[in-house]
Formats: sequence, structure tokens, C-alpha cells
Amino acid sequence: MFDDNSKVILLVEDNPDDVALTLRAFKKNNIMNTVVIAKDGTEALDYLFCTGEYADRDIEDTPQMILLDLKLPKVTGLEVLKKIREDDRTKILPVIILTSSKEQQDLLDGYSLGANSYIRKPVDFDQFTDAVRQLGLYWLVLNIGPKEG
Amino acid sequence: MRPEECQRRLDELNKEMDQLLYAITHDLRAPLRAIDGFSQAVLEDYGDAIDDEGKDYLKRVRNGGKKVNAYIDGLLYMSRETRGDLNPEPLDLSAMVTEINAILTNEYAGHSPQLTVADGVSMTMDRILTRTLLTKLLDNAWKFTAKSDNPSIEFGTVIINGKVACFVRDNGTGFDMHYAEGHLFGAFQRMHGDDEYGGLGTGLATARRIISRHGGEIWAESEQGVGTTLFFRTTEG
Repeated sequence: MFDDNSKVILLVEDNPDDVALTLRAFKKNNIMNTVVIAKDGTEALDYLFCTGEYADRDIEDTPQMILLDLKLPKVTGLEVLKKIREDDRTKILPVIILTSSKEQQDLLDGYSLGANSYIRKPVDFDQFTDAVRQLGLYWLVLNIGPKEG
Repeated sequence: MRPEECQRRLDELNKEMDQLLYAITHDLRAPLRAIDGFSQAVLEDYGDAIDDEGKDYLKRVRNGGKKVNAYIDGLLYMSRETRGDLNPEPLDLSAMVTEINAILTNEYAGHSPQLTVADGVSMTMDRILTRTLLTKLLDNAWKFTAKSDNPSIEFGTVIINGKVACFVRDNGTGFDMHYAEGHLFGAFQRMHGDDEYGGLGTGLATARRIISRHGGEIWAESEQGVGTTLFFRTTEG
């Protein structure tokens, strides 16, 4: 389904179960991209801005999409999103919020800070797999990124 | 404490409870996703190694998880439906009942109880919350008259101890008051089995919370096989 596997997906998720389920959903949908996992907001920012353990990374090499959980230890998802949008080097990256929250307020906050999509993580795994399939189809295949145009 | 002070404290506590509820339910979803997702993963990846009984057990695990999820949704929905600012204004409850009843007609296909509405019932209450309150009470009446011969629902007022109370009366299944005492209006309290009537049991709990926000009272009278009457009044009554 997806040809170009060189593009990285950055998954920002602190819950190891959710990480395993998300990876399984990728696999089931034949999404073979490299997945980098950040366990909290600080790790995500380190990866994106090439600091800390990612100091040697090339900052030009941006992920194809960022899946961002909102409720994270240390730096929250919304703060990560804000930092991504504030920096010229990252502000155009597709950020998809993946969260358990159905609260209207979280949704509004996410969109007003510039999230590209807001996906609720369903409890039902079949629905979850389908949500990941649609995400992959849109952001990895159909959508033409700012650097490809 | 003055009544206004009491009401303010109650509103604060309700707000606190909503925040707590939101935090808890959010944290419950992640383990539920794990229960459902990994049961499904075992069924898919190791299905050949498990016999039908084992598969049935795993399906029950998934169903259990889904049920907890439905309860979480119910709680959140209840909290969402009963919060917000209270803006009391004079309302024509008779018109509102007629309007809601028309909507319920579309939801219950093949069921059409006879509705009698007293004219000109008016109360000073919050419009949005009152709409929800009446919807819950009428939906309750519709649901429990589904198996009645000549089902009928009545909305009106009575004077009890010199105060006006509104009521929604049905000739439905009813319940034994003896078992209902103290918990009829609690969340997830149901008077009938799943196989008889569906639903989570949040309708009357929602109704009570709306009434308590108006500083009023809600109560029920019921008899098995005869029907149920739900009464409510606000402070003004």
C-alpha cells in the first residue's frame, strides 16, 4: 500500500500498550515506514530539534507525520505542538493528535494550536486499526507534503 | 447557610466532580484499549492454537471491555448533559413536552403511546437543562410502555402540600417500589434486566442532577404492571 518506507513516522506516546497496539495497526495496514517512538514531550522535542540523544541527527530530515498523544509526562502534547508550530524548521510538519479525550475543549485547543487532524483513539481495536489505515492513506500517500510539491 | 450559599457550594462540588470524572475516565480508556486490542491480537495471531471454548472466553473478555467503555461514555455524557451555566427563564413546559414527544416518535418505530398534555404548564428553569430533563422523563415513559396494551403517557401538574409539582405518568411496566428505594435515581441503577429493557441506567440520574441544580426535588411512584409516575418540582413551586 505504501511504497516509500524511508519516511519516518514520529509516534509520541508514553503508554507502552498503546505503542504496541499502534505498531500492530501499522503492520496490519502494511505501513512499513520507520517509526521513531518518543515516550514523552521532551523526547519528542529532542528528536525534532536534534538535541539530547538526537544531537547528531540531521534537522533537515523531518518526519513524514507526527502522531501526538495529548497527555504526556513532563512536556504535554499541546506544548509540544506549540513548539513545533513556533519554529520555522518544523512549523509545516503534519501533526495528528491521537488521544483518548472526547472533550470539546481539548479538541478546540488542539486545532487552535495548529493540529492537522484530531483522532480519538477508540477502545475497539478494529476501529483503531481502521483509523490508523485512514491516517496512513491520507498523510503518507494522498497528501503532498510541503517539500515534495 | 443561606439557600444561595448552599446552591453555590453544590455547584462548586458538581464542577469538582466533573473534573474528577474526566480525569478518571480518561485514564480508564488506555487499559481498556489494551484489553480489547491484545485479546484481538491473540485471536488473530494464535487463533489456530486455541479451541472454540478458548476463543469464546477471549470474546467475552472483549465484550467486557466494551461494556466498561459504554459505562464510561455514559458517565461522561451524563456529566456533559448536566453542566453549564444555569440561566433560569419562564418556560412553557407543555409546548416542550409536545415537541420532545414528536422527536421520540421517530426513535421508537412501531410504538405510539397516547400523549395527554395539560395546557399552559410554566416554570422558571434553565432552557437547555430542562429540555434534557423532560427528554429523559419522556424517554423513560416511552421505553417502559413499549409492551403495554393501549400505552399512554400524561404530563401535568398536581399540588402536593401546597406546592406545585409537575409529573410524567405512564401505564407501563412499573417496578416494585420496595426495591427502588434509595437508588432509583443513582447512576447505572436499573430496575429491569438487560434482556427485558436496554439502556445503561443514566436517564433518571441525569434528571435528578438537573433538578438538584435547580434546587428542587424529584421522586417516583410506581406499581408493577400498572405504571410509573415521576414527579418533580423546583424551589419556586
